[in-house]
Amino acid sequence: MSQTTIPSDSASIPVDARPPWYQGKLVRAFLRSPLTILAVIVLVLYLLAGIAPDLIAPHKVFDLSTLDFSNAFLPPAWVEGGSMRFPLGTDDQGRDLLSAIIYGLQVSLMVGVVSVLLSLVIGTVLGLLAGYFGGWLDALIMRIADIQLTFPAILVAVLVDGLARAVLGSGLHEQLAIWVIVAAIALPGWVQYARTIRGLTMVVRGHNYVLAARLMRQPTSFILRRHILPNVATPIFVLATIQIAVAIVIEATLSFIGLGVPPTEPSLGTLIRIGNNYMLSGEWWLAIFPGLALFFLVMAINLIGDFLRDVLNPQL
Amino acid sequence: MKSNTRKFLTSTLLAAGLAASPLLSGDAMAKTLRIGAQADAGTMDPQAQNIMTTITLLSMIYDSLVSRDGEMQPQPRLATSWEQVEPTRWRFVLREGVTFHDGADFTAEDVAFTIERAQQPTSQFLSMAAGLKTEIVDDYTIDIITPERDIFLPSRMISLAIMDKDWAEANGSLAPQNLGEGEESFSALNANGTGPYKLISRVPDSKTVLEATGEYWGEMAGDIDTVEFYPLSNDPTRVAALLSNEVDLLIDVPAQDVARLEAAPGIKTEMVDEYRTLFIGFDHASDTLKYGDAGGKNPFKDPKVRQAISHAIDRQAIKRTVMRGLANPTTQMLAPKNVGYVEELDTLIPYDREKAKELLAEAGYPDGFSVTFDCPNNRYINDEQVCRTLVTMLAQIGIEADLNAMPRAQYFPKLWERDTSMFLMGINSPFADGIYNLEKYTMTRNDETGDGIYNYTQSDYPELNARVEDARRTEDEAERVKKIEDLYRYLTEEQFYVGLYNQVLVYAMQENVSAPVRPDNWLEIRWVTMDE
Repeated sequence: MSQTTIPSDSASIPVDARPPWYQGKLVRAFLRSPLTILAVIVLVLYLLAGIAPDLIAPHKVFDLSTLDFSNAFLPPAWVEGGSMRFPLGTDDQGRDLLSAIIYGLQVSLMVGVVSVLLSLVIGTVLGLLAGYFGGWLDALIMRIADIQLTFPAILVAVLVDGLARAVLGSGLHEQLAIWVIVAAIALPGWVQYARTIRGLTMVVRGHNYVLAARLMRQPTSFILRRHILPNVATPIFVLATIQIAVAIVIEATLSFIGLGVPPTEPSLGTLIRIGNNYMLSGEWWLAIFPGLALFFLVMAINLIGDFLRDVLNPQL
Repeated sequence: MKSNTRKFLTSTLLAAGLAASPLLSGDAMAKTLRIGAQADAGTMDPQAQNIMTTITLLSMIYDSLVSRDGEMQPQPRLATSWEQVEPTRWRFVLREGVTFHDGADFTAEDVAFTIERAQQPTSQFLSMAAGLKTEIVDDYTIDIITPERDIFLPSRMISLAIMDKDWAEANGSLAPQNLGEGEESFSALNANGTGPYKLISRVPDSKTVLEATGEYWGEMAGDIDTVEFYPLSNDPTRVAALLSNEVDLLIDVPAQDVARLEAAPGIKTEMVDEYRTLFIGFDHASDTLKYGDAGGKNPFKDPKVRQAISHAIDRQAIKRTVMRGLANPTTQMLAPKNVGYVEELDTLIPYDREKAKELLAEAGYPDGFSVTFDCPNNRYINDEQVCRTLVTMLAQIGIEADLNAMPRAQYFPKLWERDTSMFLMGINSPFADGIYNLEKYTMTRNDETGDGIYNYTQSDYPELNARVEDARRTEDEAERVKKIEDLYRYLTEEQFYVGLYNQVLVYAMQENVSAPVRPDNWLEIRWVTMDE
C-alpha cells in the first residue's frame, strides 16, 4: 500500500516494481480459474465454521452435560441405523461427529493461522536484518537457519512440546497446550521466510531509491519498513498461504500422536487419533470424516497458494 | 535389496552353521511364538516392577519357589514341598540339581538373597516380602519366618522370581533397579534365571527375544523354542499385526476389535473373567485439592461426594459402548471368585443422576467443582476411552474433571509419589483372597510391614486399620471370611474407592497356537503349544 509514498525521485523506479495486485491481473486470473473459485468457496465455508461454530454446529458438543450415551456409535444418517440428528454419525460418547469436526476446525485453523503469523514475523524481521546489513549478522542468522533446516519441522515441534511439558508441569501445560503447539509449529517455520526475504532484500537494497533514502540520512528502520519491506512482501504472502496448510497438517500430526491439544479440546488430529482406534472394528466414520475434513481444508489452501504463486510469480 | 539381504543372511547363517552345526540341526522345526502386547515389560529386573506384563515375561526366564496349576492352586516349582512348622514359620524343601543359566547351582542362599532383595526400598514386591526373615537350615532347606501367622506365604512366593546371589553380587545388582527414578542397571537389561528360557536380546520398547535353554529341569507341557515379545502400543496396529500374521498371540486385545477377530479366518480368541477390578481412587488426606479447584477444600474427604460420583456413573453404558460387553459392572473393589466377595455389593450404588446431584449439594458442592483426573493410556483395556467416558458422566452432575492421560511409564511413578487427586486403577488379589486388597489398598501406608503400599489415597483411618488387622489375625476361616465381607460392605457403602467393572480378559491367537488364559492374566509359557 505504501508505494504511493515513494519519494519524488521515483523516475528511476521501473513501473513493474508495483506489486502485481495493483495491476488488475489477480482478479482477472481468478475469474478465469474455476478450481480456485471453488477452493475459495470451500475455504470461506471452513472459515465461517471455524469462526462461529456455535452458529453452524447442530450440537453443542463441548457441553459434556448434553451428551447421551444411548446415542453412542450411531452410523452416518444414510447408513442403516443412522439418524438425521447426527448426519455423520456419533462417537463412543454419543457426540455428534459433524459438530465435533466443526469445533475441531476452530482449533486447527487457529493453530495454523497464528503459528504462521508468528513465524512470518520472526522470519521477516531476521530476513530483513540479514539481507540489509549482511556481514557477520547475515552469516550468523543464516547459519542458524541452515542448522534449523537440518531438523524436520515435526521433530522440532515434538522437541518444543516435550520441553514445555517438562518445564511447565502437567497442570500448567494443560492450560497452555494450544499456545505451546503454536510456538512448537512457529519455531521451525521462520527459516523459509527469512531465506526468501533475505535474498530479495539483498537485491532491493542496491536499488537507486534505497540508495537515495540512505543518502538523505533517513533512519534505517524507516528504510526497512517503508522502502524495502513493501517490495519484498509479495512472495511471502504466497509462502504464508501454503505454510498455513503445512502448519495445520503438523498440528494434526502432533495431535494424532497424542502430543497436541488435550483430548478434551479436540482438533481434527485428535478426532482422527480417536477414530483410528476404531478403524478395524467397524466404526469407520470416526476416522474417515475428520480425515476428509482435513484433506479438503489443506487441499483448498494449497490450490489457492498455487494460484497465487502462478499469478504473482514470485521467485520462490 | 531384499534378496541381497537374504543372501547376506543366508551366507552368514551358513558360515555360523559350519562353526556350530549342532545348533542349526533343530532349526527347521523351531517354533517361534511372537507375542504382541500393549506395552513393554518395563525392566528385566525381577523385583523392580510389579506389573503383570513384566512378571509374565520374567517368569519365562526365572523360576519362583511356587507357581499355580490350571485350577489356580499353588503348585511346587523350585520348592518341592512346604509346611507350616510353627504358626509364623514355614519350611520349604528346595529342588536339588537345578542350575542357573550361567551354570551356578541353585541353593537356599539364593532364596534368602532374593527375599532380602525384595525388601529393599527400590523393590516393588514389598507386598510379598515385607517383614519376612529367613533361616537357612541346609543347602536345600530354608525356613521363612513371617511377622505374624500368614496362611498366604506360599502364594506370596509365586511372585518372587529367584535370582542367583553370586551373579547379582558380581554385577552390582544387589538392590532392584530404581524404576521410579529411571535408573539403569545391569539387571534391568540382563537376566540369569533357572527358568525354561534365557534372554537372548532386548531392545526396550521394541523387541525382546528369549530362547529355550533346552536343559530345563522341570516338565514342559509347552513346545515353544523361541519367544519374541513386541510392544505394539497402537490398538489397530496391534490387531492388524495379528490379522496379517506378524504376531501369533495378542495378550491385550482392544475390546472393540474382539468381534472382528472372532470372525477373522485363522484367528481364535480365548476369554476369561479376569480377577481385576477397575476403580477410581481419590486423595483422602489433603485439606485442599492438590489438582483442581473446590473452593479451598478437598471434596473427596467426604463420603457423600464419592457416593455422588459413583451414582453418576452409568456402568452399563461403559460396558455397552467402550467395553463392548467385555466388562462386568461393580461398585465394590473385589472380583467374583475371590474370598470375601459378596454379589449384592456389585450393585449397591445404582446409577441415579438425581441422587448424585442431591448428594453433591448436601456435601456443599451444589455447583460441583473441578479436578484433574489422572489416567493411564496403555495399562488397561481401553483405559483412556473409559476415562473420557467418565469425564463426560461427571460433567453431567457438575464435576469438571480434566483428563490427564499418560503412558504407564509416567503414570505409575506419579502414583507412587502419591502425586494425584483422582486416578484410575485396576486391582487384583494375587491369592484370590479379599484380605490382600484390604491390606495393600486401604490400610495406612507402612513400608516396614508392606501394609497400604498401594494405597495411593494417603488415607489414615486407624479404625479401619484395626479392623483389617483383626480380620487378618482371625484363625477360624468362616469367621475370617465374615469379617472380610463386612469390611467390603463398609468400604462399598463409604465408596472408599469407586468400583467400575471387572475386566473380561481376551487373548487372540493364530489358530495353530494354544495359549490358556488365566484369570490373573499370567501367561504361563510352560503351557503354550504351537502346531506346525
